Order: sequence, then C-alpha cells, then structure tokens
Amino acid sequence: MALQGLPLRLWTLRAVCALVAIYLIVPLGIILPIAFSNDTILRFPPQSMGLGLFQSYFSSGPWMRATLNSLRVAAPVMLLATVLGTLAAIGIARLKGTARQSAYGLFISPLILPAIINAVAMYFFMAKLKLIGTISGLILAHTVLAVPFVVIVMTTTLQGVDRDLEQASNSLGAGRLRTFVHITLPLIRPGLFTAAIFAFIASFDELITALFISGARSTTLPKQMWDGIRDQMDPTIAAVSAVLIILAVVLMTMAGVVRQRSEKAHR
Amino acid sequence: MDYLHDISGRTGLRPRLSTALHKHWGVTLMIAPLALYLVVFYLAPLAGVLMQSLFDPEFTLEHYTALWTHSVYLRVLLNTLDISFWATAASILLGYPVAYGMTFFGPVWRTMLMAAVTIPFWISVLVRTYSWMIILGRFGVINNFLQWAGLTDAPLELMYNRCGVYISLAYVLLPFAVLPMHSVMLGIDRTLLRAADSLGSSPWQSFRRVFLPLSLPGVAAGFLLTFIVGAGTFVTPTLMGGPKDTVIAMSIDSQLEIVNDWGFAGALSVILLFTVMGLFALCLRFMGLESLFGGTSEAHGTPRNKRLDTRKNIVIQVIAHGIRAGGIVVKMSACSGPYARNAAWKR
Repeated sequence: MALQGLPLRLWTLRAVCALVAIYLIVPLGIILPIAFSNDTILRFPPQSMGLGLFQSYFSSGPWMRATLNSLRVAAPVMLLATVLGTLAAIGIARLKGTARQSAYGLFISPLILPAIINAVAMYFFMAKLKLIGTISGLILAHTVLAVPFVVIVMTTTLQGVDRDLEQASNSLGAGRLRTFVHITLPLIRPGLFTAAIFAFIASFDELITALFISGARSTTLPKQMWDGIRDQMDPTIAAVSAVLIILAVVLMTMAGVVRQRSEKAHR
Repeated sequence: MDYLHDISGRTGLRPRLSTALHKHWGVTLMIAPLALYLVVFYLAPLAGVLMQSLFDPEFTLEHYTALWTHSVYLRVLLNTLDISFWATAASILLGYPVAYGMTFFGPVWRTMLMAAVTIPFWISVLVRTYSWMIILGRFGVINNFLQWAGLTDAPLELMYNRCGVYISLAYVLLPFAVLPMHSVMLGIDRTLLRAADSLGSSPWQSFRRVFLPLSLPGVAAGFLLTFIVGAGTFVTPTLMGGPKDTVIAMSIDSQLEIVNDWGFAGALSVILLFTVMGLFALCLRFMGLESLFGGTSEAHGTPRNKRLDTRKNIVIQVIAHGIRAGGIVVKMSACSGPYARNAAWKR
C-alpha cells in the first residue's frame, strides 16, 4: 500500500525479492543438469549429457537397498504418525486454555529440539532396547520426528471445519463414530493427505538419527548419500539428489492439488 | 442388569454428568496414545541423556567439569554460537524484504516467492548442502566461472572454511527466518499504514515508524527459531567447514562414533540445549523481548501472555516461543504454501 505511486521503491523491493528467490532456487536447479550428465567427476557445466548417473543409481545394489530401506521405514512412519497425530489433533481441538497449549507444545516440540540431541537420546535408548541397526528402531524414532507435522497440519485443518455440521449430524441421530466417518472425515481428508505426505518426507529425508541408529544392514538413503559425499564425491549422488528434489516437488504439488480441489468443492 | 444400566444411562437419569464424562474421556482417549508414545520414545530417552551425563554409574559432575578443563570444547561452543549467529543474521536480513514483499505484492509474485521459500524447506538439508558443494567447490560453478572469465588464476578457497559454512547455512536457514516474519506481517493492521499516509507521512516514514516496529515480534520469533536450528545443525558445518569450524553437534558425534564416551556426549548435548535456551532467556530478561513476543502470540489467536508469568517462568516462555515459531513455519509452508490459492492468513 505504502509503496503505491512510488514505482522506483516498488521495483527496488521487487529486485531484492527476485534476487533472494534466485538465491533460493538456483542451487537446487544446478543439481539437475549435473544429474543428467555422464561425467564421472563432478564439474559444472557438465561435459556430456545422458542418463548415465541415473543408470548407475538404479543398477547399484547398495543404493537400491538403501532406497528400499528408506521406503520400509517411511511407509510405516507415515501410517503411525498420521493415525496418532490425527487422533491427538482431534482431542486438542476439544481442549481449551493451558491444557491445549501444553499438549500442542509437547506434541510439536520434537520439531525444534536440535536434531543431534534427539539422535543421541535415541542412540542411548535404542542401544538399551537392542534396536540399533533395525528397521523397527528407525520406525519408532522417526515417528517422534514426523508427528509434529501431522499435529500442526491437522490442528489447522480442524480449525477450518464447521462444528455446526457435526452438531447437526448428532442432532439428527447419528452417533459419534458415524458422525466422524460420514461428516468429519470427508471434511478433513485433504488435510490428512497433506499430513501423511509431510510425515513421509520427514522420515524419508531424515539423516541425523539414521546416522546414529541405523547399522550397515538398515542403511537408509540419506545415510548412504552421506557416506557417499564424505568418502568420495561420487557423482551418482547428483542423480539421487535430483530424484529427491523431484519427489519432494511432486508430493508437494499433489498435496496442493488435493487442497485446491477440496477448496473448490466446498465453495 | 447391564441392559438396565444402559437404559438408565440413556434415558437421562444423570445426563449432565454422563455427557461431561463422555466428553472428558473422549479427549483423553484421543490424546493418550500420542502422549504415551512420546513419553516412552521421546521424553524418556531425553531424560536418559541427562542421566547418562550425571551418573557413571554413581552421581558425578566429571563430564561437565571435563568441559572446562579442555579449552577445546569452549572453542567449539563459541564456534557454534558464532556460526549460528551470523548465519541467522544473514537470513533475517535477506528474509525480511521477501517476507515484506509477500505481504504487499499481487498473487503472482506472492505465489512465486512463497514457492521459492517453501520448496527448499521440504528438500533434504543434505541435498541442499550438496548443491553448495557443487557451487563453491574447487571445480565448482563459481570457480569455473571466475577462471573462465579470467578474473582469477587459481581457484578460490570458498569452502572447507568459515565462509562456506556461513553461505550455505544461511541458505539452509532462510525459510525458518522468512515464515515467522511473514506470518506476523500478515497480521499487521493495514489501516494503521493508511492512517500514517493520510497524516502526511512519506512511504519511508510510515514503513519505519509504523510497519517496522509492528513487524519486530516476527523478526524476534524468526531470529529465535533460526538461531536454535542453526546452533544444533550438524550436516552443513561438517560438509562445508574446515578443521577450525567444528561445532558442538560434530563434537557430540565424534564422542559417540570415535571415542565412544556416552557420558561426555550426553553432557555436551545437555550443554547445547541449555546454552541455546539460556541465551534466549537472557534476551527475554534484559532486552525486553517479552513484549515483542507477546505480539506473536496475539497474532495466532492465543491471549496475550501475562507479564507476571513471563518473569517467573522464563524457561517455559523460551521453550514456548521457540515451539510456537517452529509451528508457524510448518503451518505456513503446509497450509498457505505456494499451492494455496488465496492466502488463508490474510485478515
């Protein structure tokens, strides 16, 4: 508002914003051309284009095993975190005041606890339970980190749900369960979808806890990448990074499309 | 009998009590599974870290005193604070215009900027740091360009030093700075700006005297969150830093991986946690930031904090503000992200 009528000021602000946006996006864009090259050493600009790096990713035993392990961890985490987090969010929506604040605070606190502290805690804990190097250990640990995303998304979604509809259903004789299944659930479905995707990404991309508690046999994709980056700059990593970037963008777009569609339907 | 009891319950002999119980139990039943899960797999392990640092197997403060006798750990702690502070400062400075722009621009610009901020947030830190290794490396984008353009003869040392850590960490942290600031800016009453305009202030004056002060709670929340995330960061300093850029998370890692000293690793973790919290308690106490943070809570539908509580439970306040800022980031990127058609946050 304050900027209108002063084009120079507006354009300066736009230029600064555009530069920062470029700073944010270009580093991700730089990985893509490298991923689609056949170079064996990492350099920019790449010398020859092709699918060589993707080929070496998809045909490599360790890389495929790590990818599979990540999926075997992320899928149960998604399910567990979405169920636990959604139930809790519905409970929180019925709470008020301090109780609400403390419950919400506890549930989303893993989000800002420095990851290294959580990783150390998990390492000690899983060592005592003899779960180091197991898929179940990783699932249990990653669920803690995925839950905050579900609770935040579902709490926000539930705030947008018209409680009158639930009450109307109740007053027309439907029980709590029936109201939930036929009224609440369809209303929160797009939120559920977003929450599940976030829980999946939170686990699939998680490195630090995996670094501590996954052994040689349960190496996850981020851990495999970490080893690859530290030991030798294996250019295959560029292809894996491209896969991760594309996966994140596709999943986020899907969540966005689902949300838009439901917005349209409810208008 | 059961049948009769059921009937009496339903026919409303004690309708009020039974609904109250019903409601109460409903909430408990829904929250309990997650609460239990977090107590067992989150709070208990955290308590375990504290115990590990204090008992060996008898009570001892040896792991904490070791920290002061080896000056190298003091150095590491200072490195951590220095790196996190400057990366945070950079992301606040770069992020402010973006957060500001997103509140004023039209839908096209807003969507583009929001996408630029939230998409990196959802991509693994490892991938984001890796891309900076490609950019700043010896044969990376910048060095290749400089040599091609004939500006330098030998490649510049842009990474494996502090400079590389600052640049890449500021990049990784930027979304954490932008989203809390933007969230508070969306809550600023536009009529105040119009009032300033109509009273004859220049755009610059109304920005500096009205908008900027009102946006400071967001800056404070963004700073708090970004600094906490920065101080605990492990991936970026490990990959981009040199031997002199060891941060506390790397020391914790090497205590476990190489030295295998659980007690000391536990003590370092506890110190990291309390250092971050302590610094912010100091800010809240002496720089009067609590009034600023009061504003953030108001912007999110909860009542303004009571000043009395602020003085008494400063630790709780610090935790609460950090958590709230973290929640805002996820909420903004999830629910009003680049794909949201109309910003649900607009008042």
